Amino acid sequence: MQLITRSDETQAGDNDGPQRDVSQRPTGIGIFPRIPDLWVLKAPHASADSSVHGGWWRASVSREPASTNLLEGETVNPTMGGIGTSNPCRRRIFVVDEDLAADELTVREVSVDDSAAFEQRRHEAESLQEWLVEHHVCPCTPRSLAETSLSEKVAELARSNRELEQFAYVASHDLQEPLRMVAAYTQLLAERYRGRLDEKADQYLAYASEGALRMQSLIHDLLTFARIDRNGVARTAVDCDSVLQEVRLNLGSAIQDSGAEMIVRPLPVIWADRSQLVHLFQNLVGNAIKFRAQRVPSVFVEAEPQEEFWLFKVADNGIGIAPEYRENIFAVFQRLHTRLEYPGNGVGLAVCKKIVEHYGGRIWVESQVGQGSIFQFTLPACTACGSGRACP
Amino acid sequence: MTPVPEVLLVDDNPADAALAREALEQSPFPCRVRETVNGDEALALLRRQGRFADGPLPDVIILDLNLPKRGGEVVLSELRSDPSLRQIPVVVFSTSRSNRDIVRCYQLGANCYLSKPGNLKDFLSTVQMIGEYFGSRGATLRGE
Repeated sequence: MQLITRSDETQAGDNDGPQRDVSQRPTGIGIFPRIPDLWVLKAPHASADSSVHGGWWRASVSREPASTNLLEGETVNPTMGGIGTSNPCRRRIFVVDEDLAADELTVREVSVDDSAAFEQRRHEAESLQEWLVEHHVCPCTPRSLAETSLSEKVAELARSNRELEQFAYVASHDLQEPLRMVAAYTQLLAERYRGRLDEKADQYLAYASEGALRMQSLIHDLLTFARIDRNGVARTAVDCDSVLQEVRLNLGSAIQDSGAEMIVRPLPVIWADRSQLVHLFQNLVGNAIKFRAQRVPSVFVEAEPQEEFWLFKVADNGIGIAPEYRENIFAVFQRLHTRLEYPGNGVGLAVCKKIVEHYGGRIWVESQVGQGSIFQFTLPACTACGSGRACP
Repeated sequence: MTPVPEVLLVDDNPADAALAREALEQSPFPCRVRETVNGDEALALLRRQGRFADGPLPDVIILDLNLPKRGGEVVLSELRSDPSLRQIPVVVFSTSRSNRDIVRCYQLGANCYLSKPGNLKDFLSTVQMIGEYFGSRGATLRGE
């Protein structure tokens, strides 16, 4: 067991301090008369030249007086321990237990609140030559510790993104395939055997195939939602006026059928992924038309510059949203109406929220039931010119 | 007279294969269908190995991606690097709608990528369209 500590007054670079190798002992005890700001334990099975990333069990001790957790964290590597925090108001004894059979290293605290007990424990340890407090700078300086921790987090994030990607792929392929079979064959059954079964059977088949089709559409929408983060990398200067033109085109039949009136004030250029902006505006304008009241729908779109953001508004004269639902509507699969009243899966606004937040913006709604809604969101001002300010 | 188009269906999912076969055989432009259930079998058939020593080369290959043994992508890239097989049109017909798969298949030389429609009618008409367009085109060339 080798136990290396660094006290807070030790300077980086001072790496020739005394060191005691107690690697033959099954148990080592480290006594800290003061709480060091950083301590490092090297597991016996970590090779001598193992890097900071490879074989060190490290822990940082927080100087936050409020902190009461002695040691918390998670194992990041089988040969490593974790990161711990400590309450510097108390003196503590750390006991390092090594289970050679299980090839494990654990650190536990021996609780000694009163000085006498502390001194006694210290004396015992000293007499047994089991204790070790060394002023030694390990390769793991606070800065490199932070960097390691950051690079670990980046790696962790990359791993989690890969997993999400994998999930999206599995959902898009492996889940859809059996579902498609259910849908196709219930439809086939309904078609080929129509009238040959009784009326009830026809109805059951219709329900089954409707359910399968709806499930397909849910998976499709969920995938759209899941993929937003991954696809938002192709940022360019996007003219929101042209985005709205595209939205008008895409919603052509809905606009025509409803006779909707659309007023779009001149909009700014935004540094973003164009397809995401189309998606965002299309969902909002589409909703404005879909959730219309008993009058000709009217949609009004404008933007005003704020300090580092543009504030966009998409206003309508539709059915409005009751105050208690103004947060909920942005959740995935959240619907306020039956599918018969208004079709859809309840993913549109969740997608909008995710897109807006992806750019560091915020989205909310102001509304009066029966009068209409104003969806507002912020997007960062164009940074293409480097000014970071809202361009005219 | 133009010969009947030969279609090779590579799909491990018997339900999809049965639907596709029915659509192709009962199409207004009927095709003759042969099926293999994995990439290895498909390549053996195309290279006329083993039990596939006899039989014509297909006018079009309808290829699923997610196959046991050698997958659709491998089959596609092996076909495209084989001078005697590279001319055969390949239509990738997969459940996946992922951009990654679509781009990858076109990079590997697919003639067409079509997602399997969830709706029965669309599924049947898509398969028939493949047979009609690619199959009859190949058969016509063969007949000349």
